[in-house]
Amino acid sequence: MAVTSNECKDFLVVEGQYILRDDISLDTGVPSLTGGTLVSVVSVKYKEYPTQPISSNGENTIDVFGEQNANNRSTSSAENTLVVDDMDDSSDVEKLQPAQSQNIEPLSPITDNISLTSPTQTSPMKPSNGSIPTSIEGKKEDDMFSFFNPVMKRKKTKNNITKTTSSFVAKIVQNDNLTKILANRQNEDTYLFFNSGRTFCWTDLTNKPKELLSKVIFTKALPMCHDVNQLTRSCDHLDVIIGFSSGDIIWFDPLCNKYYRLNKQGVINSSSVTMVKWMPGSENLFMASYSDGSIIIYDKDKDDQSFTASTGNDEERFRVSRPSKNAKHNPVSHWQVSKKSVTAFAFSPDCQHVAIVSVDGCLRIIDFVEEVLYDTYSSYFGGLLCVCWSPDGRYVLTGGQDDLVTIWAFREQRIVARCQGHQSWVTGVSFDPWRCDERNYRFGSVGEDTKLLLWDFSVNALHKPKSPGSHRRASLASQSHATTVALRRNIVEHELTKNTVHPCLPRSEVAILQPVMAKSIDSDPLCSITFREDSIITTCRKGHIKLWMRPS
Amino acid sequence: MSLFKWIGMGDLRKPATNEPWSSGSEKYFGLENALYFCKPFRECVVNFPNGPNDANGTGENKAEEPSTSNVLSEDTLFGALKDLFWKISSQKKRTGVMAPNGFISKLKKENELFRSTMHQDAHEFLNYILNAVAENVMDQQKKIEELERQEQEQHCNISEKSKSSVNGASINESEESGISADGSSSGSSENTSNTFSSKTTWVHQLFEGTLTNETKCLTCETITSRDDPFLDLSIDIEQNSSVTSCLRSFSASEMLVHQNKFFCDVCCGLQEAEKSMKIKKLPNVLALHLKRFKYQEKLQKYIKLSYRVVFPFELRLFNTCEEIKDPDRLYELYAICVHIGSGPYHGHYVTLVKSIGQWLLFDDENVETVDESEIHKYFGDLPATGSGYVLFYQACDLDLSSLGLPYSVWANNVASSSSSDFEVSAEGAAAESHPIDIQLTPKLKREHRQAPVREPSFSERWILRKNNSSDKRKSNTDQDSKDNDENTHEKSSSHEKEKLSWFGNIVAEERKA
Repeated sequence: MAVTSNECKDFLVVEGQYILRDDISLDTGVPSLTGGTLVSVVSVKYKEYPTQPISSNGENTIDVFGEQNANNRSTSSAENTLVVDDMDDSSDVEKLQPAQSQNIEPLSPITDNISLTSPTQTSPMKPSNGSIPTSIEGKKEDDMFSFFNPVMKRKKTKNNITKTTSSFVAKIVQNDNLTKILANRQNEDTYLFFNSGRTFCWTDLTNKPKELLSKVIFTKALPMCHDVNQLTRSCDHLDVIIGFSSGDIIWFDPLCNKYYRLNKQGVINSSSVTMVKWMPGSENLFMASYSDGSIIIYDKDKDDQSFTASTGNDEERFRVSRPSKNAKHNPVSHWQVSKKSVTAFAFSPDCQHVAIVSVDGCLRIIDFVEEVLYDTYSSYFGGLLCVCWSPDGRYVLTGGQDDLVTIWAFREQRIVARCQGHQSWVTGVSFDPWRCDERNYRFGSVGEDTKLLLWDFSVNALHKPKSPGSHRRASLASQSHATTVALRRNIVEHELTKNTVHPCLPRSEVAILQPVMAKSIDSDPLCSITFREDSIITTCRKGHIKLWMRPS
Repeated sequence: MSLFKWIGMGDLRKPATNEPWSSGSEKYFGLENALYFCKPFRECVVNFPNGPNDANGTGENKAEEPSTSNVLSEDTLFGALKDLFWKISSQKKRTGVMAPNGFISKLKKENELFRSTMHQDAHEFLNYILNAVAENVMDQQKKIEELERQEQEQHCNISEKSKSSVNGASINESEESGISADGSSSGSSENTSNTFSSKTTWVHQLFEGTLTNETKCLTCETITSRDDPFLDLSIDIEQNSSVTSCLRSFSASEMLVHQNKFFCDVCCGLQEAEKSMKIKKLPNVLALHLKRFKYQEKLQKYIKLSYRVVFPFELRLFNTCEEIKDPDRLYELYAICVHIGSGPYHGHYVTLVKSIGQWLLFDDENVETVDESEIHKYFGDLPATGSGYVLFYQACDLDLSSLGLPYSVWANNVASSSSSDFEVSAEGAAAESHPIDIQLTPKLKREHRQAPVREPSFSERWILRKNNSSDKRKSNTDQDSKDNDENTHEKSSSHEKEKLSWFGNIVAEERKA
C-alpha cells in the first residue's frame, strides 16, 4: 500500500551531504516480491594503462577483494592481501591478451582450485600464481590436462543466448547501439548488473545508467542473486553467475552472449538459490547457498551429476560431503549448514573463512579451505538476513529479524555490540572501507523499514547498557578489555577454537550502539547496500536502484 | 520428503488429512453449518468499539447459569467450548468436518453482540472468549473449592495445591470429576462469593501479563505508577515496520499535553506529564493484536490499514521495565489469525497454526499445510493473501509445573495410552493440566474466523508431544482407512519414529522434573 513515493533526494552525515544521482528501475519489470533487487558491480579497463597498485583504483571497491585491498594492510592477512593483489595483476595481464588463446591459460588456476580440497591453507592462494605456473604445478597440470580437455571443448559449445531455444530463457533484448557503445569505450567502464522480477539487466553505471545495455528475460524461474568474477573480468569477457528460485544457476557472459546452465532443473539441489559468489581467487569455482540450508561449491566448467548428500545424525551441526576428489562433476563440495534457509554468506578478507547466516538465527564462521566449522553465534531472536566482514577482517556484521545490526569480533570470538535503530528487519549491511581506519569503522545498514542507517563504531567508545547489574557489567568490561589487549598482542598466533557454540547473551551484557544517521530513503523495503569509492548504492524490493554520490 | 515425515501423512496437499488437530478443526467448523458460516466472526471494530465486554458477558453467564441448571455438564460458554473440543478430540476419523453448532448457539445466547449475522472482529471475540472462559473457570473453581471444603478428607491433596494460585491439580480434578460435580452443583454455586477468588485461573496464568503505567508530572516530577493486568496487547502499527518496533512505540513515552493533561494529585490540578507503558510481567502466551482497523476522522469511518508489518518466528520484548525478572524471555510464534479483505466491514478470517513443526492453514473447512517460507505473504502488503491480525507467541521456557500440572499426571496418561487420544494428549500436551485448555485450542482454531487459536499450546514441545501421541495412536486406523497405499508404509515408520522421540522427550522431561 506504499503508493506514496519517497521524495528523499539526499541525506546529511558528519562528512557532508550525500546526493541522489540516479534512480534506476525497470519500468516494465514486474517486481519480484520474494527476492528483491540486488546489484553486482564490476569495473573493467579497456586500453592499456600504466601499472599502478590496484588497491588505489576504484575498481576494487565492490567485492571482497576490493574491500580488503582498500584497507587491510595492518592485519595478519597482509600477506594474503599481497597475494590477492598479484591475482588482480594477473587478471590484468590476461586482459591484455587475446581472449581466444586464453582458454588454455586459465586452466592452471582450475587445476589448483581443485586442490582446494587439499587441506593446505595456502591452496586458495595458489591460483594467484596461475598464469605463471611453477614447474611443479605445471607437472600437476600436465597430469590433469587430459582430464580437463573435455571441459575446454565444452566451453566452446556453450549456448548462445541470442539464439537459444531453451525454454528457460525467454529472450534477450539488447541495446540497439550495444556494439557501438562497446566500441567506443574509454579507459574504464563500470558495469552494473541487477535483477528485477524475471529479468536480469546490464547497464553502464558511469554513463547513462538508465539505458540498459541488455536484459535477459527468464521464463521459469526468478533470478535471485548474481555475482561477477572480478578475477577474470576483461574487456571482452565477463563471468557472471546468476542463481534462480528453481535452484538453477546460469553462468553468463554478457559480452559474448554465451551462457551455460548448471544444476539444471535442480538435479543437484532443487531449492531456491539465495546467494552466489565466486570463491576468492578462483576463476571457475563459486559458492551457492540454498533455501534448504545447504551450501554447494560448483565448478562452472563441470557437468551436473545428481548427487545425494550423505546423511549424518541430526546432532551434527555442519556436514561436508563431496564426491571423490578430482571428480568430473559438480558439486565440488556440499555442506549441510542449517536446517533452515541460508540467507547470505560473505568471504573474509583473508580468503580463508566464510561467514554464513541463516533463518535459524545463527551466524556460522567456517574455514572454507579446511571445511571446518569454527563458531556458531545466535541472533538476539529470529533469523539473520545479511552478513559482511570489516575490511581488516576483524569484525563481522549481521543484520536480522531482531531489527538489530550485531557486531561480532572474529578473532576474539565474541559479540561486540548490538546496534539499535532500525524499525524493522535489517536486510543489508556493509562496511564503508573508505571511512574505516584502524580504530574507527563506518558501516551502513538498510532494512524493511525503508531506512538507511549509518554507524560509526570504535571499540573504545562502546558504552555498556545501563542496568541494575552493574557489578557484572564491570567485570565483563574489564574482562573484554583484557581480551582485547591480549588479542592485539598475539593476533597472529591466536588459535581459534573449533566448533564453538556461543549462546545468546542477555541485553544487560551487551553494548548498544546508536546510528549517526537514519533516514527513510525509499517507499519500499530496502534489500541491499553497497559502498563504492564515490557513491553508495541501495536497492529495494520493488526494483529501484539508487545511486547516492558522496560529498565532494 | 521431510514434510511427509513430520506430518506422518501422505499427500500434503490434501486438506483434511494431517494431524489430529487439523482434523479436529476441520471437523469442527466446516460442517456446512450455515449458521456458522453466517455468523463468522469477522471484524467489525465499528460495531463494537468498546472492545472487551467482559462485564456483559460474565454477567450474563452468571445470570443464566442458575436458570438453566443441569444441562449437560455446565451450561456456560466454557462448557460449550469444552464440549466442542471434546467432540473434536473424540472423533474417530482423522479428518472430517464438524459444525460448532452447540458452541455458536451458546455464544449467541450469552452475548447479544454475536447474535446477529454481522461480521465480527476476531480480536473482540478472542477477548470475549478469554474473559468468559476465565470467568466460567473461576466459578467452577469456587465450586470445587466449596466442594473441597465440604469433603476435605477426600480431596486433601487438591486443596493443598489449590492454595497456590490456580492450581492445575484442582482444575484437573474439575475436569475429571468436575463434570459430574458441576452438573450437580451448578445451581447452587452461584452464591459463592469472592472469598477465594484470587483472580487467577489457568486462563490468566497463560495469557496474563502486567503492564506498568508510569506517569511523571512535569511540574512536580512526581511519578505515579499503576499496574494493569492484560490478556493481550493491542498495538498501533506503522507502515513498513516490525512487530518489535510496534511494541517499542507502544511503550514509548508519550507527552500528555493540551487537552490530554494529567490530573496530578500532588499539584491538585491538570498538568503536563510524561507517560509510558511498559511490561512488568511477561505472559506465558503473548497475544498481540495489531490495530489494523483505524477510525479516520476525515472519512468518518473505519478503514483497514494494509501496512506491511513483519513478524518474526521468534520474539523477545524490548519494552520491558527495568525491574523485570527475565527481560530476555524468548517467545516463539505459533499461531496467526489473518484477516483477508480490504475493508473493516467485511472480509474473511483464516488462521495459521504451527503444529508439530508444520504450519497449517485453517480456512473454514479446508486445512492445508503451508511452508514456513510462505508466511511472509501474511505481512500485510499483499491484499490477496491477507494480513496478520492477531499473533500468538508462546514463551519457549514455559514451565509446566508452575502452571500446576504435575508431570506425573500426563506422563502416566501417556504411558498408559488411555483410550481417548485427545484426553491424553490434552492433558499431556496441553501442558497445562487442563484438558480444557487443550480443547480450547482446537476449538479456537476452528473458530478460526473469530478468534485465532489462542490457547493452544503452551509450549510448542507440548503440542508436539500431544500431537505425536495422537498421531501415532491414530496411525493404525489411518492406514486402514487411507486410500493411498503407497504412503502407508512410510507413514507408519514415521509414526514409529515420532513415537520413539516422543517417549524420549517424556523421559527427558521427567528427569528434569
